Amino acid sequence: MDLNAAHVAFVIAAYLASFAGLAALVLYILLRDRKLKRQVSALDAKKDGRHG
Amino acid sequence: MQQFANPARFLKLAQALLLPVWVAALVAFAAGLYMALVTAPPDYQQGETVRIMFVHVPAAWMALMVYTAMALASASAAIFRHPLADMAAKAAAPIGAMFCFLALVTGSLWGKPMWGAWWVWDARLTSMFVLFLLYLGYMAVWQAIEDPHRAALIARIVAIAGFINVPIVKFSVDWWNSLHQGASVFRMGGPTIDERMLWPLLIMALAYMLLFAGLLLIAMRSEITSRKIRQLQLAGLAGR
Repeated sequence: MDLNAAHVAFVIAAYLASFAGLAALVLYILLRDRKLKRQVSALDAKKDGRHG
Repeated sequence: MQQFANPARFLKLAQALLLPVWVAALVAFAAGLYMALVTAPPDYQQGETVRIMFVHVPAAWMALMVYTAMALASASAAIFRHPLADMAAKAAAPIGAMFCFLALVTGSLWGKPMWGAWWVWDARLTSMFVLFLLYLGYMAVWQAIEDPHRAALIARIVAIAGFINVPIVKFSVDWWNSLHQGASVFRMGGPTIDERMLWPLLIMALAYMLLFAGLLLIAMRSEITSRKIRQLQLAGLAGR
C-alpha cells in the first residue's frame, strides 16, 4: 500500500474503526461471560452452603 | 439439530469447538489483512481507497447473514420449540449489530473521498440503516420486557417481520437508481472483480465468519449461564 497516495487517511481510519469495533465486541462478550460465570458460581456456592 | 437442544450437550460441543475456531479466525485475519494491505493492487479508478472494500464488504455480508440466521432461529423457535433457538438469536443480535454499524461507518469513510459525501439517502444505504435500527429494536425488546417468555415471543416477531428488509438491502441496487455499485461477487454469471482483489475479500469474509462463530459460541454459553442464574435466583426466592 502506498502511504503517500491520495485519501490514504480514509483507508487507515476504516481499518482502525473496524479493529476498534471488533475488539470492543470481543471484550464485551468475554467480560460478560466471565461476570456471569462468577455470578453462577457464587449462587451455586450459596445454594450448596444452604443445603450442606 | 434437536440433539443439541440439550444445553449441557451444547456446552460440551462449544467447549470443543472454541479453540479451533479462534485459531482459524486468527490465521484467516492474518492472511486476509496481509493480502488486503500488501498484495492486492490499487484500483485503476479508486486507487488505494479500494482497500476499504476488504473490511466494508465482509461487515455488510455478515450483517445480512447474521440477521438471516436470527430470523431462521426465531422461526425454528416458533415452529419446532427448539430451546436453544431463541438464545442463539438473542446472542447473535449484538454481533450482527456491530457488523452492521461497521459496514455503515466504513462505507461512510469510503463515500467521502469517492462520492464527496459522508452519507446520502440512497436505497442501499437507507435500507442498511433500517437493518441497523432493526438490530437495535430486537435488542431493545429483550432489554425492555422482563418476562423472558413474552420477550422471546415479541423478539421472534421483530426478527421474522424484519427479515423482509434483507432482500431489500441485497436487491436495492437493482430495484432503484443507486449511487452504490451493484453486486460484483454474488451475481449471475460469476464475479466481475479481479482475482487479486477477490481472494483477499473472500479470506477476510471467512475471517469475519469465523469470528462470528467464535463469539456466538461464547455469547450462547453466556445466555445459558444467565438462564441458570435466573433459575437459581427464583429457587432462592422460593426457598425463603
